[in-house]
This record gives sequence, structure tokens and C-alpha cells, in this order.
Amino acid sequence: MQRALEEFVLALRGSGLEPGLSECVDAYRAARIVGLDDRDGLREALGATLAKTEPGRAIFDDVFERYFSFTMFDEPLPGASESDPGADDVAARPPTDARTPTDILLRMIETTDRAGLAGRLRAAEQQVGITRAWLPTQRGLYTRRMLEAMGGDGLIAEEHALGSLSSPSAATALRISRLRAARERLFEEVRDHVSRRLVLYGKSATEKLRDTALSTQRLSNIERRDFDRMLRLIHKLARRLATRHALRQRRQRRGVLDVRRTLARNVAYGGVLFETRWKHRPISKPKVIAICDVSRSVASYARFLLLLLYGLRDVLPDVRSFAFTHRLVDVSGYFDRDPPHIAIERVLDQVGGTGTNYGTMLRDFAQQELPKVDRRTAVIILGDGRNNRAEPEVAVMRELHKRARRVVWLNPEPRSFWALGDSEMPRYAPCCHTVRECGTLVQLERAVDSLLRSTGSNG
Amino acid sequence: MKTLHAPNYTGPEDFLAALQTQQYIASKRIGTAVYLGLHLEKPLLVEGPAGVGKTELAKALASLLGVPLVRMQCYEGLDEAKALYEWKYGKQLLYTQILRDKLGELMQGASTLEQALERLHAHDDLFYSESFLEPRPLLRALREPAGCVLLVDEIDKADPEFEAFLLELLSDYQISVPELGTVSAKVRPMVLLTSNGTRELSDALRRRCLHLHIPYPEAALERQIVHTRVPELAAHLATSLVAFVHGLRALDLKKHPAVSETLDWARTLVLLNADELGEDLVRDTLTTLLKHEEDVATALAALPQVMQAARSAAQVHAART
Repeated sequence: MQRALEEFVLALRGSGLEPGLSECVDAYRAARIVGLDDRDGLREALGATLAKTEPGRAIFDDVFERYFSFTMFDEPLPGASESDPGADDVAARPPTDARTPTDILLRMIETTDRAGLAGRLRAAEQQVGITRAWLPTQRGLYTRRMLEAMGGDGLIAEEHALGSLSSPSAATALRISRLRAARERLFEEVRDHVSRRLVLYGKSATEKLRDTALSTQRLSNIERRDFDRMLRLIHKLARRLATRHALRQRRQRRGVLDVRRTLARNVAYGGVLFETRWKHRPISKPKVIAICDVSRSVASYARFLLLLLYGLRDVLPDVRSFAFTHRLVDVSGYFDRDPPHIAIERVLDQVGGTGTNYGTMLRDFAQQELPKVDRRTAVIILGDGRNNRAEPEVAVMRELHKRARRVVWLNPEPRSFWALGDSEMPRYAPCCHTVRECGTLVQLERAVDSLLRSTGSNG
Repeated sequence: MKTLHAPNYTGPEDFLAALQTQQYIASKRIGTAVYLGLHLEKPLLVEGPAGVGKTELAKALASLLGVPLVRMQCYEGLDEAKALYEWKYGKQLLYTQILRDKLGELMQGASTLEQALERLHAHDDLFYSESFLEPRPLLRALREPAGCVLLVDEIDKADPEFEAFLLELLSDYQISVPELGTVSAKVRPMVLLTSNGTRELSDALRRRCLHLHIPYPEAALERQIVHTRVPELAAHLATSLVAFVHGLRALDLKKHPAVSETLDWARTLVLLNADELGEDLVRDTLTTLLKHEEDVATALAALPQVMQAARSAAQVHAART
């Protein structure tokens, strides 16, 4: 049973669920409690222990149906039991009469002995290690190995041996046709089974491969069709950051008795301490202003930067998001109303365009937002700093640097490009507390993590 | 640490039947999950829309096991002092003042400061002892002599920090009070956490719990619930009532009517002595089911179809019985 469960968990991983070790242990114990006789009971037991979210549960149910169904050899061999007198003979014969291993297998197939075949199949699966299969091109290889492990070679060998006889008798001819039918049937069933298993196990490896590829690839190279996958990765990232961040905040929380203020307060009662006073550590609720360049030059990044902004709202309580090409536009409203796909497209549609101008953007910012920036505000700017040689308004940045707690610039371009062409990074960089390159998802995560570390700490 | 004494049920079905004696009608999924929770000694995370009986489940379970229910309602800003324990500072301070003379006596004859300190040290734990401890729900749950059902209600309303804190408790059933040492559960409590999904819970929390999602019940199950909870209601009326509610759930509403609202409505109908689900009656009492102005408007617009569906469902049911 343990083995079956292990494989089932592998199949779950293939479909995107990620049960941990402790959950597998729970599942094992749960299965022992409810027993294996009751299929529904088993499903509920495994579902409660392995699938921990509602969407996860839907995936689980699907995989459960596919994994714990044994659809092989559903129909009896076509025509075998009726027209072939040998088959009746074989079925009627006592089992001890089966002499060679080939005979046993032949009979199993012809009488459609599902239990016996399932047993062989399981044994063969273990022998060839089917759970390691993960590429569709491996289907032939694994099918052949499985057949071999199940004893299918014997069928072929005997068929060949009999076929090479010079003058086959009627009985031999019958035997040959039986062998061929059985071999073909076995081959088909095993091949189908291997295909089903490949679907179950194969996905996990390929998915993981694609995920790692995506998180280290430059964001600009990621194609539109991977958008959903990216969305999921970024969402995951945001949640991971949220958890880390929550733990950090917790440590800073608890208040203790403030002896000095308690004593001072109770002087009025002649030193009898009636009223208590507490030390309150103010929990810093950082205000975050995020400004995202969505112009054509960073169009391929913008989508993901906006996605990150969207994800950040889960992590930080008070994020205001702005987007710009040349004028500053408050887009927080879009993010509140719509799901990420729609919100992002809408922002790109309405704010995106050509003619990036950081100068006008910063002037807008100075007018609208700068007065509200104080020591609790962190400002994140996402953009390449390419200003089309317009007036960069470094003075605004300098003022911002003075007022805000932190100014962070995340630049999707590689660091070596920063000083080239119309990039104003060399002039903006000194006005920022942190400047980081964030061209890939991994870099993005590091950048945001360090950002949270600094905004979360008490200032 | 002892385990919570649970009667020996032969399996999930048996347990489900036992739950029914507590007037809690549950699906097999619910029964199996709770049964496993009891036997694996794991906390159970119950999710689902508001009003499908998540809190009721905890109550029914507590009365079935014959142990008290300790309930902790979560809200934003909930912290350890409110959830776990607090020192009765006022009492401590008051006692030191009242016992001032006694302390003076104690100190008499101590010639040096060291001696005085020495004597004080002999009594220093006095003011941080049980009698000055104010236990809050979590500590209370750990100290219940016969165990209990601990209901952490609406965990999604608490801050993520509190959720992280809860992890310590859920994995070992023990907590440390710095002044007293580690308090571990006398009897491991059965923990139920409920969530309405206003916030995504952390993976760490989910990993530690068994998961149970309670959806709106199927019509047959809901009929059974109505029958058990409001036995006064005539069977044919219950059938059309449940069918009507199911029709409403198919509409695009802000807040769908839950089981608790179905039961409220059933009671209303009993109070009004209704013997048929007429359109006027529905119009007058719809506000028991729907709590938003817009929802009522939407439902009224779609009333004829929903009524029709309810009527035909009732007919089918009548024909079958």
C-alpha cells in the first residue's frame, strides 16, 4: 500500500499539487484508518490529508479518478471465448495444468484474468521504475521493458519457434494464432497503460523544468502564452514573501510593562500602583508608492512589473500604484477592481505609449504626491531610466530621497547597459537608497525581499 | 499528554450516524474528515461560504464527545495577550501594596542588602504564579482536564502574524509562558479552524491541518437538515423551499442564501402557518433569505422562473413518495 501511495503522490505532483512529507505520512495513516475496501471513504481520507485548498481538491479528485482506475483488459478477448474452442478448453483445465510460464500468461490474457494481470503489471512497473518516465518519447522504451518484465518475450519466442516449423499441424497453427492474438492484445494494453502513466508522472518533471526556466529567464524573453504560468509564479512569490514578512513583524510586536511611566502615573496615589502603563511599540505600517514605467521601451517588462505590483498588494497593506509613459497616472483603482489580466491590459492600454519622459513624470509627482511623502513612505520605481534625452529633473529625485524613508529603483536592464545611450541611471542612482537590477524573476524576488526587510523594520 | 477520549466508532459511517444524534446532518466528506481528525489527532481546517454550518460542526462535535467547547473568535489585531494569557497586573500591584507590611516583617533583621535580596529571592515566584495568571482561550483549552474542542473561528480575520504564532500551538499542543515554563496540554484538544476565505491562509498552516471544504449542501441533504432542525415544517413545503433556495443559489447574487438562512426561512414559514409556497408569501419573506438590497431586486426579477423550478421539484418529489 505504501508503494501505491508513493506513486499516487508522484502523480499528484505531476498535476501541480505539492503535498509535503508530513502530509504523505498523514495520508498513509488515514488510509490505514479508513481501510482500502471503501473507495469513497479512501478518496475522502486522502483528499482531506493531501489536498489543502479548494482548487487543489478539484485536481486531487481528478487524479484520484485516473490513478485508481484499472481500465485494462476491460473486455474479454474478442471472439476468444466463443469461437475458439481452445479457449474453453484452457479455461476448463485445472490451473496445475499450465506448465510453462508462457502458458500461464497466455491463459491469463485469454481468460481476461484481471487480478492476475494487474499483479503482473504492478510488479513490472516496479521492476522498470515507471515513475521515472517523464518524456513522451520514452513510451516505446518503457512499453518494451514492461512487456519483457511481464513475460511477453515468451509469447514471441514460442510464436517464432512454432512459426519456423516446416510443416505445421492444425494444432500448431491454432496455437500460433492464439499466441499472436494474445501478444498483440498484451502489447496494446501495456502501451495504453504506459501512456496513461506518462501523463500522470511526466507532467511533474516537465512542469518543474519550465518553472525554473521561467524564473531565471529574462522577463523580456518570456512569451505571452507563459503569462498564466508567470502569474502563478509571481503569486507564489508574493505569498512566500508575505509569510516571511509576517514572521518578522510578529517579533516586533509584544508590549511590556513600562515601569517608568507606571510609577510616574501612580505618584498621585501615594506610590500605590493602581494603574498600569504599557510600552507600545508602534507597528510601522509602511506606505508604499510604486511607480511603474509602461512605455514602449520596457513594454515587454512592464507586464511583469505590473504583475508584481499587483502581487505586492497582498504583501504590503498600503500600496499605491502609479504608471506612466510621460504623465503620472494613479492606477491603484484598476488593481482594486479587476483581476490581474484585465487590470494590466487596461493599464497598458491607457497609459502605455511611446515617448518616455521621466522628467514630466517627476514634475507631476512633485506636484501631486511629494508633499504626502514622509519618513514612513517607501518609494519603488520600476523602469529603465531611459529618458529620450529630456530634462531628467534630478532635483525632484533629490528631494524625494531626502523625504522618503527609502527610494528603491528596480531596473530591468543589465547593469552594464545603465550608462549607455539615453539612460539617466547614473544621475538618478545617487538619489536612491537602493538600485537593483531585476531582469529575471529570481532577481525580482531578491529585490522585493530586501525591500520588505527594510520597510518592515522599525524606523 | 493524553489523547482526547473518543468513543470507539467503527468507521466514518458510524461516526456520521453519531453526529446525527446531535442534530447535525453531514455529508460523508464531513464525517470522514472529522473522524480522521479525531484519530490522527490533527487540527481540522474547515473552509466554505458563511452559514453552511462550520461553527455548528464544532458545537455538535463538542456535545457528542461530551467535552466543553472553547471558542476563540479571531479579529484583526488579535494578539497573544488576548488569545493566550495575561498576568493580572492590577492584582499583582495591589497585592504588593497590601502585603507591604508583611514584606517589611520579612526583611526585619536583614543586616545587609545581600541578605535582604536573598530572602526576597525565596519568594520571588509568588507573584508570577497561577493565581495571578489570566488564562485566555488557548491556554484554557490546553488546561481543560478532560480535553475540549477548540474552535478557532474565522482565522482568516486574524493577522498573518497571529497565524504564524498559532503554528507553534498546533504542532506540539504546548506553549511556553516565560515565567511558568512550558504548558503542555493535559489532554490533546480537538482543534477546528474555520475560514471564510477573506484572506489566503499560509501554506504552513494548511500543511499542519486536515482540510475540509463544506460547500452548500445538495438538495436531498438540505431537505434532511431542514427536516431535522425544523420538524414542524410540512414535508412538501420543505421540498419546495429547498428547491427555491437552490434556484436562488444559481442566480448571480452578492451573497447566496446559506443553510442558516434556509433554516431561518423555514422557521418563518412555520410561524406564519404557511401551507404553500405562494408568490406573495415569497415576496413578503424574501428578506429572511437575502440580506442585500440588490440581491432582493435581482431575485424578484427572476422570481417566476425560480418559483416554477421550485414547484416542479416539489411535484417530482411528491410523485416519488
